[in-house]
Amino acid sequence: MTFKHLKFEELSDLIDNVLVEEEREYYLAHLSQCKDCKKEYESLLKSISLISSLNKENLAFPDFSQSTIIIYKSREKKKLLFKVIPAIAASVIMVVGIGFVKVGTFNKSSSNLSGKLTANYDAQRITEDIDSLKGKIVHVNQSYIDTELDKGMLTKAENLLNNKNIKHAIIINPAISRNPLEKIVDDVSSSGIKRTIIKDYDFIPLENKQIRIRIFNYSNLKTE
Amino acid sequence: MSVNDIEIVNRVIEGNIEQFSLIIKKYQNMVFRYVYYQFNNYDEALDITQDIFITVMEALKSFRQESKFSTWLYSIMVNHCKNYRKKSSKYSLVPLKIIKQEDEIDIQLQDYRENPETKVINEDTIFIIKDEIAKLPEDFREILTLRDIDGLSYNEISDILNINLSNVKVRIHRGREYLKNRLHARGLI
Ligand SMILES: [Zn+2]
Repeated sequence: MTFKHLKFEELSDLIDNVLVEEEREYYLAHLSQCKDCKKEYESLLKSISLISSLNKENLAFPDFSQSTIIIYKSREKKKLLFKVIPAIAASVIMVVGIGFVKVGTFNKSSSNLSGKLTANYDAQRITEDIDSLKGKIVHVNQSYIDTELDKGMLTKAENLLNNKNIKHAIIINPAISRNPLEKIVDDVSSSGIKRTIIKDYDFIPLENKQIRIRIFNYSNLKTE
Repeated sequence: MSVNDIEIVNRVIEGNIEQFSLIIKKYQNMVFRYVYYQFNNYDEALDITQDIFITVMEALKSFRQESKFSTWLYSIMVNHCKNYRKKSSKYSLVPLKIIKQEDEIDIQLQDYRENPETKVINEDTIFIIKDEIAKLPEDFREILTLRDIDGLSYNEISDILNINLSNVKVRIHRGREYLKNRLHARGLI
């Protein structure tokens, strides 16, 4: 009998127990006699247990059930024109639209943005409000809803949101009037205005008479 | 009394839409975890997970009930991540800023990771493992997440990835060997 070391895949199969009984016994017998293979076996076992340990990593995330159903319903109704924008594309649009951003707070004299944003809202109700303003929902995620409204509806929308104490930001888009094909946007940051060149993106233009409002959601935290 | 997935799915199809929340609550942990380890980015994982559940809900009528519901859902999840990766390579992210009159303030979107409950056994180790997983070739990352993090069986993986069992085996072997070498190089083994 020739003494043959176990191959990597045999060790892997042994760990997952996807072997027929004879093979299994043979491999185990080999391991009990061969230090080299035993060492290999143990380091593979260690590697697998390291990656498996991620299963125990406590990942906190918000509950997706309500938001999913709201988005689904709104789309089904087709009253609202939903555009699915991948999150990343939405960020690009936000940058494009960032020329001037005005923040609507609970009351206009208050500029306390740093305070804890605690506005709870019923997203279903908000989509209905937006609908009543003939607006459309552009993007929904756990943190906010982006909507687009006709500029003529701005005052009405602001009153509605302020009356209901709903935290929101109004995003006006001078960058849009610039030719989007230039693919240049002004990004306002703490270091001043920075010109950013966007290389390649699916530009979704905001119609000229539209404004965008971002409504914030700070719904309850869910831990597993 | 536990209700099985198929029963719930049928109710949703019949119009009892709210019932879908039972499905989401059951699977969101697995889905979020999978997505998170594919991208190693918390914010992207939130958005992608949301998109996956909407996709699943909208596709519900096309679920043939030939496979387990979970298998069908996971295959949508895997494909969604694949497609997202292809698309997103084109974009780059710029952080969102907001102005209030003369002041400038970053919008502080709530970061769920800051929850004090979120503890890890050994942060440095976990960081390296996640980093190495994120750097794996896509085929390996997919299969090792399904097998070694989620603990799915070879048969389930074969159905989800739509590859035969011997390919599942081969891919697991190669993926594990690759990762083991990487973890060794990082001094964890
Ligand atoms: Zn040996």
